[in-house]
Amino acid sequence: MTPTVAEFLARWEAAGGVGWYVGPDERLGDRLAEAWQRWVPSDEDAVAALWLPEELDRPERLLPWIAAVRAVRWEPGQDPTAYRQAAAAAAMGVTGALAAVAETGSVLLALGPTTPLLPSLLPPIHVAVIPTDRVVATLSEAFHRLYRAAAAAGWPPVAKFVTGPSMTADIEGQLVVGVHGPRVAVAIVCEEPLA
Amino acid sequence: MTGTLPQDPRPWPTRREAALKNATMRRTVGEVTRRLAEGRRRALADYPEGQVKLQRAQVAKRQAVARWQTLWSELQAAVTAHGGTPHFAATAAEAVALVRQIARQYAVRRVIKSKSMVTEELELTQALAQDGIVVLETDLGEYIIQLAGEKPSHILGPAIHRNRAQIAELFREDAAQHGLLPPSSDAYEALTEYARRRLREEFLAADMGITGGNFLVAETGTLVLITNEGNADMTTTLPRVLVSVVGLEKLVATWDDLLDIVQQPALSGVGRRLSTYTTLVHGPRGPGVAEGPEAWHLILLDNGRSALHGTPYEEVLTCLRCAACLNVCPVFRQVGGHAYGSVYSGPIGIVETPLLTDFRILPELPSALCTVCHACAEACPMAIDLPAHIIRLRQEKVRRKLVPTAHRWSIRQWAAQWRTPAGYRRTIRWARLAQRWYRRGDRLEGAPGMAAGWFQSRSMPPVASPTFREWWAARPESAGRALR
Amino acid sequence: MSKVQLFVTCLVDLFRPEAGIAAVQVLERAGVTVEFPEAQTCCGQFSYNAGFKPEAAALARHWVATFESTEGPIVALSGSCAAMVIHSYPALLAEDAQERGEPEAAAARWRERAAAVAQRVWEWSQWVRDHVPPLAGPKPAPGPVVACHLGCHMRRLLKETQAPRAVLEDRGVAVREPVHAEECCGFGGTYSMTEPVVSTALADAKLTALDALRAEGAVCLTGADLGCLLHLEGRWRRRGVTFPVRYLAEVVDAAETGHWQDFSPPSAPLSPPRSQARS
Repeated sequence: MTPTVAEFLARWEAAGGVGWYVGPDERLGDRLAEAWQRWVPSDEDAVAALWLPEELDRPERLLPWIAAVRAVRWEPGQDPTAYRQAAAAAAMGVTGALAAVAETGSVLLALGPTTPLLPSLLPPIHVAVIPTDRVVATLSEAFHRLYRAAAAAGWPPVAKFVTGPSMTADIEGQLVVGVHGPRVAVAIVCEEPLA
Repeated sequence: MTGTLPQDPRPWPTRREAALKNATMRRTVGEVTRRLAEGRRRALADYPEGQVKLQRAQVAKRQAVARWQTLWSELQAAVTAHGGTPHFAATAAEAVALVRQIARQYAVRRVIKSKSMVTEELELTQALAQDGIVVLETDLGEYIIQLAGEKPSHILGPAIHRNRAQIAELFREDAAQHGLLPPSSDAYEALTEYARRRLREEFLAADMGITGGNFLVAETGTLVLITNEGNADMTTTLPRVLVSVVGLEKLVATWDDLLDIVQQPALSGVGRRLSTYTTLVHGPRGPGVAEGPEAWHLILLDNGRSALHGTPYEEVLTCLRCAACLNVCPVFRQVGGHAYGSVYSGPIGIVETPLLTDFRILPELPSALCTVCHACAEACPMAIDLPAHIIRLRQEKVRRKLVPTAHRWSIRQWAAQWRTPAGYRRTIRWARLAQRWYRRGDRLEGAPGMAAGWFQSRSMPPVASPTFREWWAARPESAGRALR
Repeated sequence: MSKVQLFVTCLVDLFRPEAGIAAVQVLERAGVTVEFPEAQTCCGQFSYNAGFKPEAAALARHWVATFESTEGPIVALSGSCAAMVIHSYPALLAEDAQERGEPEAAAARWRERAAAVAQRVWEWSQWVRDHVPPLAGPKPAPGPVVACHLGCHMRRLLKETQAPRAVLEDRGVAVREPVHAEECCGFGGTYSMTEPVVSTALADAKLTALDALRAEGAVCLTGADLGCLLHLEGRWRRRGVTFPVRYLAEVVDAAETGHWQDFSPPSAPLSPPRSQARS
């Protein structure tokens, strides 16, 4: 694990999130299964709202978890209202990310045709999966990455830096997690598997 | 042009007494503000990079405020290019009319709002309700005070004046009214869970979302929203129409300027390097996208702000609404936000309220709610010299004769006598005569004129005999310093 | 030997001459020549903070004229009045000159005069810490404990929080600050008269914090600003509490002479009177 990855995971956890590292000889699907087992109440109908970048969205990386759950995915052309209801009903949202920032412990998400943000917002649990090469040291690098992406492909209607779970201190100043957004925010930094 | 702000109709002594009698509020406000102030101190001590960015941000923000008109032109072009619709509202009334018109245009019935000080300025919720539109606040604190029919008492914690038993009672009534399960207990988690459950359906059913904004980036046409709960993210992505109402002072010029400033509200407000959600809105959803509004209307609000342009008060517009000044203000800790009677409370509120309204409302604020302790100046990330502005506003009040005649007379007499040693000695003679009436044993228990206020709650030693200068003149070894 | 100009402040002169006398005695005991420019009256901060600018400027002009004809450091018996001279005078006098229609050059001249004299101003404990060594001999075993409240302008405008503690600890006095020490006591000059209710609420909060130090056996409340001290003492007295309140120099003087009889009986025995020999 590089120091940048370690700092990101430490700061993400300091912000109230759960930070995991998947080494080159480990399987992402094992950690997703672990998250599912830990935070999703046992319910046979539980659904996951899912999108991942192509290099991660493969059975060999997502097993055994992917075989055990029903995953809802957004396909352009689908009815947005139906997708929204499905995402709201999902027990867990799993997404990729544009970047992760060590300096602040944040994950950068950008809305696009293949990258909906609802899975990161509506379910009670959000798991962000970040390949190691997307973990940057400073907020400045992430800002510039977004700026360059926008220069090439236009600005996403919405982009956001997420730093830990949804929280509030509105009642007597006491911190409570999981107001409107997820109460459990997991960041998994994932190495390229060994060939 | 002068702006308008809503005001609490109760006079200051009534507001003050209500606040000081509310022990629950004072305890909660004291604890919360101290915790936030301590969080800020720790976060900054641990983060020297933040200081470097801040120094650049102070400069950039002052420049942006000075050339807001140019930046607004740039922003309009960028927002239009993203498919959004920019509007300008010179007054609060214009802004309200615009929002009502947009709501009509899209046949809106249900509105969800994320927390915004500007919409409090406009009393937008009340205006839309007149059109039969249901408007729900979605920030937990704002939802609580909406149920209670109150105004926010703190920029960041609108409901910190209420304790959880009071909140539980509000939620139980709300649940009964909507046929929902009430919160399972008075625990913080149970109350929060109720709000999540109650508002989730509203998020999914709303036609229009209304937000404020923390920053507007002219170069890129970006609206930045900084929140912790996730409600602003729902507001900006779920309803089919999004309206953002933003004060013109929120403009920054470039993406790099945003980078320098974007962490400051979280660092100074709650002591984090970033809040949970830093959301960057650029426009309505594109084709094939699962979420986001179909239309985005951005309203830039003046409402008295541009009148500060070119005055010594211009830097006041660089305020980030981080609430650091509220959190360290000793007076705020005693009386809480409602006592101010204005949407904007705390040190920044006592400066902004008279400035935006040209003293038309609440002229007591700069005088009655500041001891000039300078804690706010020390805390302000934008280096706004709040005590200097407060003193300048007090000077303005003297010029406009907004100070009681008795005070004016007392201070003028005082200064007129003490500008010479002879006058000073004369007042000592007067005081020694006058204090016979007020002396009880070794203490004074009263005084005439302005000084009477002191004796409402405190005593004083009498004017000494001898005074220091009399002792000095009489002591043998000094016999006047000239002989030394 | 060094020589200083004493700026006693109106509050010390009128209401607590003992504070000024103690300040003189500590300095003279160390061989410092103390001069007292007798034309001095008041720095004008009362008027300034209340928004009465021309009135404040009239007092400020008199202050500058009084002290600029003297030599050497100006030692102020108040952090707040020292801050007024240092931080507010140059701009106040220049702006006031402009507003009275004087030419630009005259305004600039006032700014220079004010800045020149302001450069010589020290708060008393700052000067004592740097120029008056403590008495010779070993430091006494745990001396009396005092509660210390520092005014906001001392803390935030002079940025001085250590000097009072240093001069006391050098003389064997243990210094305790109340919780939330950085919070204003509510005095605020004329604020204490024009807004007595909030001013008193703040005093009561401060007194509650100080009660813990009284319980720990503090023999008095001290501080570097008589305004705050009179406000807190006056509130205590009205509530029936007669706990001693002393200006900083009075405590330093007591520590140097061993004359603690005017102070509250402490829970622990006081250190014996100390030799006055100096190294």
